[in-house]
Parts: sequence; C-alpha cells; structure tokens
Amino acid sequence: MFILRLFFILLFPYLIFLQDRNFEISGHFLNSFGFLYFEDVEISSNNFYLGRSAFRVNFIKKKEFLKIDGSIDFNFLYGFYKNFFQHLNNTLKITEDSILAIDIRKLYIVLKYRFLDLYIGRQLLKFGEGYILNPLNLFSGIDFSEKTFTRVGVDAFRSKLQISNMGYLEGIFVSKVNVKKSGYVLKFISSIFGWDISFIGCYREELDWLSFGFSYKGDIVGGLYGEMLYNYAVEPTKRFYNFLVGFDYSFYQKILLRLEYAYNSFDINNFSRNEISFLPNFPFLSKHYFISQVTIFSNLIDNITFLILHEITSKKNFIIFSYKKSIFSNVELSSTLRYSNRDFFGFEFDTVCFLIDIILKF
Amino acid sequence: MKFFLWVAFIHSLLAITPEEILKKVDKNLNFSSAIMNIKMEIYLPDKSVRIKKFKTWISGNNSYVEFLNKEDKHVRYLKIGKRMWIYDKEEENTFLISGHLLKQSMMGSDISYEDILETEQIYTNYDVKLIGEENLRERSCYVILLTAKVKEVNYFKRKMWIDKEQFFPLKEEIYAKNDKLLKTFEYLEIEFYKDKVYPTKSVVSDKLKIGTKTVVIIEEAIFDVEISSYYFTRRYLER
Repeated sequence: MFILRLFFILLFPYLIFLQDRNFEISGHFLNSFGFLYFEDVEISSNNFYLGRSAFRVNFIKKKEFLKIDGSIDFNFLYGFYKNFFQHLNNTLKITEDSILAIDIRKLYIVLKYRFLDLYIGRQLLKFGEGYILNPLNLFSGIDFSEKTFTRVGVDAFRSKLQISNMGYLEGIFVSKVNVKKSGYVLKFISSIFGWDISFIGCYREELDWLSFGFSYKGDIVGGLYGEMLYNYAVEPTKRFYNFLVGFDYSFYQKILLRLEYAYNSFDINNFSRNEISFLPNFPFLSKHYFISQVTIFSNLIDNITFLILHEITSKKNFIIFSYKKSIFSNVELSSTLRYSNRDFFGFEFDTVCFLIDIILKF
Repeated sequence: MKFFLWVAFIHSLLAITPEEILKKVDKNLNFSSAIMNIKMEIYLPDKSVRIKKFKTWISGNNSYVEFLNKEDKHVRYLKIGKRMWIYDKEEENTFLISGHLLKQSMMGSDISYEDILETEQIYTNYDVKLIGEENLRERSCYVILLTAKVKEVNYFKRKMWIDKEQFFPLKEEIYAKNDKLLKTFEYLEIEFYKDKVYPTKSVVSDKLKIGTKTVVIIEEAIFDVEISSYYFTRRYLER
C-alpha cells in the first residue's frame, strides 16, 4: 500500500517532467458510483454497490520519423466491481474492499518513412463500420464494463502502406499475448464514388480459420453502412458468415437515429467452448440482432442517449439510457441506467445497473 | 429627354453587376493555401463560454484540422472536396461524416459541418440579384440576394451585405425556403494580406437555437504557403 501511494505521489511530478520533455500529456479522472440489482433467490441481498475511481493518462511524443503513443488506465474498484474483476491477473489488492486494476490500452511506437508506417506494440484495431456488433472486428473486442463501448488493446505489429490519398494497404500480425487470439490480417481501405470501402483477409492461427470480409459506408437518403465476413474452416460445420447493415439519419440537427441489423449464420453447438470466444460478434451469439439508438444533442451541454439491443429470436434485450451534462469545458456529469435480460452477457439473471459518473479531463 | 436616356444607358454599362461583385468577393477571399490557428468561443445562454482551439492546414478544396484545447485534443478532421472524416484519436476510430450528418453542429458551435465544406464559388449555384445599397457599421454596402438555382446547395436563400470599397462581405443572413431566418454570419474585423482580405473576427449565430452565438477568431494565419499533399490523406489523419 505504501509503495502504491508513493507511486501515485511520484507519478504527477513525473508527468510534468514528461510534458517538459515535449510529451503531450492528457487524460481524465473519473469517479463512478451506483448499484447493480439482480434477483437471485439464493442470496440475502440483491443490491450491490458499484464503485470506481479511475485515472487515465495518455501520452504522445512526436518526432519527424518516430511517434510514441500510450494510454494507461488505473482503476480503483470497489463493491461488486472488486468481486467481479479480482480474479484478473492485472489487479492488485489494495484493501479488503478494493482492488487496483491497471490496464495498458495502448503503448506503441510508430516508425514513419515516406509512404510506409510501422506500428509496434499494444494498439486498438478497429475494423468495419458497426457500432457494437461488428463482424469484421476480430481482435479488439468491446469492453462492456465501459459504457462508451471502448475497445480492448491488442499486441500487434502493423505496417501501413499509402496507395492514394484516401487509400492504404495494411499488413497486421496480432500476437496472442493479451487477447489469446493471434492472426495475420491483410486490409485494404479506399474511397470509391463517395463510398468508404474496406476489404480484409485474415488467417487465425489457433483455429486454423481463414476469414474474408468487406465493409462499406456511404449516403443514400441517410448514411448507409455495413460489413460482411465469411469464415472458412477445414471442417464444413464450422464454416459460416456474419453480416451487419446499418442506417443513420439526423433530424432537426439535434437528433441522431441509428438502426442496425446483424445476422450470424453459425450454430454455436458446432463449436467448442474455446472456439466460441473466437467467434465474430462474441458475446452476441444468437442468429438475429436489431439495434436502435437515438441520441439527442439539444446543445453543447446536454446529451441524451437511448439504446436498445434486441435479440430477435429469444426476444431478450439490452437497454441503455444515459444523460450527460457538460458542467465546464473539461468536466462532465453523467448518469446511466442499464438493463439486460438473463444470459445476455452470460449472467444468469436479469440485471439492472445505475451509475453516476463525474469526469474531469486534463 | 434623349440626353437623360443616354446617361441612364451609359450608367447601366458602367454599373457593376451582382455577379461581378460576387466574383470580386470570391477573388478576395480565396487563397491557394493557408495555415491558421483559430479560436472558437461558443456562447450558450446562462452558461460559461466554451473555448475550442484548432490549427488548420488548407490547400485548395482540402483541409486538415487538429484541435489544440486539452479536452478535444484527440479530435481531428479531414476534408477532401465535399467529403469529411473525423478521427477520434482516443479510440483510434475514423468516421465518415456523410450527407445529412453534415447538418450537425461542429463541436457544439453554431457552425455546421456543411458551412465549412462549402468550396464552390457561390455565384455558380445561385441566381444573384442586387437589391439595394445600405450603410452597415459605417461602411457603404451592396445588398445582394442569392436564390438557389440547383438543389445541391446548403441553403436556399442568402442575403449578403458587401463592402463597396473592399468587396468583402460584412454580414450574411441565411434563409429557408419559407423565408425563415436560419443563421447569420457577421464579419467584424478584417486584415489584409497582399491584395486579399480575410476576416480575423466573425460571429455566427444559429437562429434555430435560442440565445447562442459562436465567435471565430483567427489568431495566426499564413497564406499561400506550400503544404505537403501528405496532410490531406487518411493515413496522416490516422497517424
């Protein structure tokens, strides 16, 4: 505990030192508290306290041919969060009631030379256009404990070759160090007739699967986007495809509507427990999903979002209602109500979660 | 009588046409390239002013923007012709801002994305009419009315007050088809660069919002500089 206190006491002068050395430092402090409710007849209390104090530090240093980029989260977790995450190997017990989880989201260097960039280290790899359901996104999964659906960093080596002003070709090797999924990806991005398009080909080592897919985004009345992925496995029962189509539209310059439909052709009974975690769209493993999201930006200060993710076959829902208020330029207050039916995220019960967050950006 | 008709005829030959006024305005305002540091002050009713700062590199119809204020430092824009992408550095995610989304406000200001995307010379898409002359802020101005002749324009009707001496717009009002006032632009301070002129302080007010305005201040500007085409690539946006 003493070492930890010392670490945080020394961290701030060190960040100031880094800033003086031309590192750009930014980040936030977050304080979050709330409760989780689920109905389990076997326990005496169904309400659980949720508490989290987080400190995120982002740092960048840019040179002509080199860039260092990092983002590290220090999360102090209390209540149910502590019980839920304490088994992870990136946690440290602080007191009987709290743990510290350290998450290196990004830490990579970029070597830049003429038309080629090399990215080495932990990075966020986002493929495709989907918001939550994202068949092309085979590596950087969503962190569902974060309400902003932030993605998990993966250790990778990536080379990016520019081929036009809006196009590039990427070759990526993903190591299995932190996500237990390794693979080789070839990705091509371009812009044709006003549409953004991408194609990916991927070989996933652990499963001996080949995946091919594409994504698109353009404009027909509203924004139209989508992605599709075909997985080829030696065993015919393990071959499948996933696709997503989405539409977004803005009304009165204040309301943004997003609708998405996603389809999975696989039958999870054909896959082992280990293979299931490798499936695209994991943990959304049913056939059909429908997402609708409405965001109201009445002004710069207030922002209301309502999202419903509906599993069509079993009629299960995951619902989020959130209200965000900007108190000052760098201070935001938000409240979030989340509801999910049993089995949606592997929980055996219907759950309701309410959180109040205050975030100070620096 | 004949003499007066001749005078009127000669006067009409010498008088500047509204199209010529706009051509002179366009010539005055259009730089081949520029690098600017811009401050945006966003005023909201009963709230403290929100300040956004950004640096922009402009070359022809393309521009690249990096926000400089701490809370938005992860945001970058790339505009190529009439298309625009936003990059969120924190999540390393690129979004295409397409069609209807361009009507959304840029960073909560009174300026929409399509306001900054306008690149074509406006007289080509509008019927132009000189409707009078007025004094505005002690400057003598032409008052010009523009009515859209094609569908692919941001606004149906625009009224401009153009300084007769400098050929620079001092004010612009934007109207919907039903004559409802949508937005006003006021150019309060100008500076000269060679034979051109640019606004260093302007005020934009979205009339569909109540009591808001955005003050745009150009803090630093360099014009007609060589900017590498590399800035206007998706690779650079995502770097």
